[in-house]
Amino acid sequence: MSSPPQPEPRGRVFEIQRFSIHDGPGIRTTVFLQGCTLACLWCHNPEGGSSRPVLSFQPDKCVACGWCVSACPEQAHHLDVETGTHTLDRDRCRVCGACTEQCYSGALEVVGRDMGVGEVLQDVLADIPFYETSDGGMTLSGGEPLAQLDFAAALLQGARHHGLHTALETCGSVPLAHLERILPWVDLFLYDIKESAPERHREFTGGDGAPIIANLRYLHGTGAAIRLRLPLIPTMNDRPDHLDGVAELVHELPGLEGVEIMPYHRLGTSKMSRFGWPQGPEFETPDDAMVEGWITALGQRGVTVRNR
Amino acid sequence: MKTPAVSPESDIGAHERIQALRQRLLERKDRGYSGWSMQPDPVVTAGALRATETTGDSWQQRRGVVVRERLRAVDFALDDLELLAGRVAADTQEGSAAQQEEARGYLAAYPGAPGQTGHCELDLEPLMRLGIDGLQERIRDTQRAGSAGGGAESGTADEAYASFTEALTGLSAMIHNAATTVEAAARKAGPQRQQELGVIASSCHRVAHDPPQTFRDAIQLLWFVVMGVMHAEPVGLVVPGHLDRTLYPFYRRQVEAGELDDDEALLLIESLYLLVNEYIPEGLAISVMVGGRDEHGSDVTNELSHLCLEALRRTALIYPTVGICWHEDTPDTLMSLAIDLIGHGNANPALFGDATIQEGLADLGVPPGEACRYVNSTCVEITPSGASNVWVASPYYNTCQLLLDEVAAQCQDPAPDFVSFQQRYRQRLAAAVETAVEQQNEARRQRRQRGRKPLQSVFTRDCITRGRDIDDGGAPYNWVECSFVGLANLADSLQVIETEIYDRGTLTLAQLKALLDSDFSDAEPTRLRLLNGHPKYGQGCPEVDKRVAATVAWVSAQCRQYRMLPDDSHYVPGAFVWVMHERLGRDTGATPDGRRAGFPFADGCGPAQGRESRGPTAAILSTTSWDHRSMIGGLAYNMKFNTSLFREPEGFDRLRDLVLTFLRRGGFETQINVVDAAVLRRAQQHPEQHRDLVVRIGGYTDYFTRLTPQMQAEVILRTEFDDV
Repeated sequence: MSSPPQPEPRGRVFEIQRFSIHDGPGIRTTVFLQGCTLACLWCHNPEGGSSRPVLSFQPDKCVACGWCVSACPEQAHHLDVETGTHTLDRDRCRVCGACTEQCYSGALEVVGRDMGVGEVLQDVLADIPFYETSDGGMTLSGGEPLAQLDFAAALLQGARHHGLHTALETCGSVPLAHLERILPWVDLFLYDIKESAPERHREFTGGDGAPIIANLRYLHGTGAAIRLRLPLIPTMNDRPDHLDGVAELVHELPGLEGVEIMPYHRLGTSKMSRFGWPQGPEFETPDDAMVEGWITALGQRGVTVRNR
Repeated sequence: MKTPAVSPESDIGAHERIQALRQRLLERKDRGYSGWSMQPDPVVTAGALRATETTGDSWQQRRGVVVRERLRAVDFALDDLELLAGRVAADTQEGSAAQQEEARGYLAAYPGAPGQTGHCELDLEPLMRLGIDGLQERIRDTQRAGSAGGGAESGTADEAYASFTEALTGLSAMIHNAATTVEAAARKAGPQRQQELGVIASSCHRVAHDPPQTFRDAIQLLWFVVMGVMHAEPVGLVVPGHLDRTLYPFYRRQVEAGELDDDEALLLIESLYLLVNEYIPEGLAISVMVGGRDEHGSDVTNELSHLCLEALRRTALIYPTVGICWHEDTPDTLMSLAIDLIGHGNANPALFGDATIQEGLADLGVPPGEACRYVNSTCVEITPSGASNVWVASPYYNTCQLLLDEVAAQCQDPAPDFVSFQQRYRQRLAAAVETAVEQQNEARRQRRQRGRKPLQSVFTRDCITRGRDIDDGGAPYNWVECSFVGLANLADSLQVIETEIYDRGTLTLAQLKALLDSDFSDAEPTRLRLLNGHPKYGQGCPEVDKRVAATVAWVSAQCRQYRMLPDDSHYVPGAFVWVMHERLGRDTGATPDGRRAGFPFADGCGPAQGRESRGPTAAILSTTSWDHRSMIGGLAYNMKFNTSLFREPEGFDRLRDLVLTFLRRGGFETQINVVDAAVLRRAQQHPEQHRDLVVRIGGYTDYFTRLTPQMQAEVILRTEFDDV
């Protein structure tokens, strides 16, 4: 359970995305918090799964200046002067970030940063003129933002305090009390439904599906605004029986804000190598026709998708 | 207000007609044709020849004769589909060799005067009310009343009136030529086309003397005047301007009488756009403006405003650029249409901040009743409509070359701190401004002696009442506008200089100079440090943004110190670029911001290429962090989006939100490219398949395949905001 809220909680943020236009209404700033309660096979933001900062290394951007070699207190970087080849010994690296401060080519970056609520909000509030024009606001995403409950709650409360519209993207795999805690500060839930069949849910995400549905029912019962998000991954969960399950859920919960399809993309897989992680499974990238097919299939089940 | 029910699909006949005309136009362009290019030889010869017979008259009078004869010599062409007359024939008769020789001799004795011309919207209100003959009468009446005070210095008012009359006589004759061309075509046409041509011919005959009666008459007359002034004086780039104001009374009267519908009005506007493209050579700019406010502050948007935008869809050529004078009461229908066109890759319309511009004009002493009508005279340089002898882009300053010069100078004689460094740089810039002002005033003196534009004078407010030619001080507004190129690179460079040299001491000035002189050879890591290790303009970082604000405030104050001939007019700053960010950038060495030698500067008021790393909202916050009002000489902010933003309808809404926020924060002008870098790269490989791919450059629009390879690379490189 969470500890009592501090005056200025700090948390781990791996990205602050401005001009975010697909995570709720209007122009938004999406704050991505590190740490997750599930481990989906197709994860789009693997750096969000880790609860610690990670060093991202993209050798193709390296200009072989060697400045990181002298900056690193752990001798984790090695540069072959002959070939200009830069190798990173991740066993030595303690992710102190000293090398990234000397790296101007963008080859080395620390992903994941400890930030105070005020610091994050300062970035978010910069775009107030755009939120005002577009009825936008702030979205929390991740990872699972409620994995950092105090931080997430303080961010939502702070944003609200400044009159911002708030949205929370969640996988729902959190204790019910977490949702109760942040409920007063959230204007819109972007709620992921990943799989209907219980055993597959565990196989695909590493977590139990039942509490997710229970949490959704709870939120729905409070009258909260909820938009369902369906990550659809070819050969995994684009099955008719999962779509049946989704349709059943949608019909059970009248007054949802909408249903969105999140088609699989490979950005997550391509990110893995930057962090020195083993490549996860890859799936087929759905084309427009396939997405259109899903929309039609859901339409036949009485579910209107708001992607189009 | 009614939104016109016009869609390309609703009238296939009209659509095919415009497409066919457009295709023929592009083919003529490929053969090097432009109406303007028909003007130098045959028409000039005609004017010069007659002028040789008038050597006893004053210069002003002879100019009247020259203009009359040049207009009279214009030949027109009309094919089997065109709906407006006014395309200059490609096969105008040359004089005999002896005549040409004589004309050349005459012209050599009277060299042209230096300085800028055109870049204006003419005052067509009296013409639309009185017709050409009515204007002739007005000139006679004014002369008879003898109220004109001017002319004493360089000519008499009577001489001015004589030349005005000659010029208008030539205009009538030119329009008759057009009518004759139409009638000749009618004799060879089938019955249906014959009927069409009959309408065109009688319209031409009418407006050759009488006031226009119909929408067609008005649009036809407008074109003859715009084209005639460019062709005969000659004057560079006279713009059609506010069509939704000039033409609206005619449109409304006919629509109410059931004589005109929007389909037909649209076809005529499209036909005008085609004529503009036929006439103007590629690589320039010519503008139409819509919307905005009247002298009482009320929105003027009407059905024609929408049609002027809609006409871009089917013509989809580089001319004209259409700008919206946006203000808080601009109707949603107009904005939706604008965003729809932009989202579909039209590179048009541009959006101008009406309040910002009107306030800037007010600061220059333009009264409210006049500040509400201005025009982006080609790209984004603002000139008061109907009243302008304003010279624009005079000159373009290379702010970064001056910085490099200062760095070199201070290597010998270093300043003790950054404040002194910057002060000395500004002294250098101030000296450049002073020199340029002297040059412009000298051009003004010569123009007063050797210029004369009687036809343009007739369509410029006050010239008739004052009895003075526009080149002789007849116009109310005689500002000279200039442009400071490379402001973003300058700010980014100053940021690096202050931090690296004066704060941290990580570089000396001499080391910096050596890096720049060698174009960072063997020093790529250091270049990357200068480029990526310091905040940049466009990232919403106040520390850098305030450097642009300070520079702009400083150059504005400098410019305010100067007075321009002939009437102590203003020297007005701007920061627009046309193509000069590429041209000046090509000639300028590496700069302290990490920009390599020869690389283009940032265009307009936007961040330098590739530096908008925090997305469009941060870039807009930067570009609107300083006061745009003093930059009436022109200021553009180019945004570029990937087509993927528009895959879902929300993309259009979000683009509208960005644009509105920019304008509400005091933005002067923004223009938006929606294009795929992949498509541009394909066009580089296969230009023949992408002949009509239109892109927005520094305030103007051009065919991508026509650009220099450097400029093509620049367009591809400009930050392309993707959706996330």
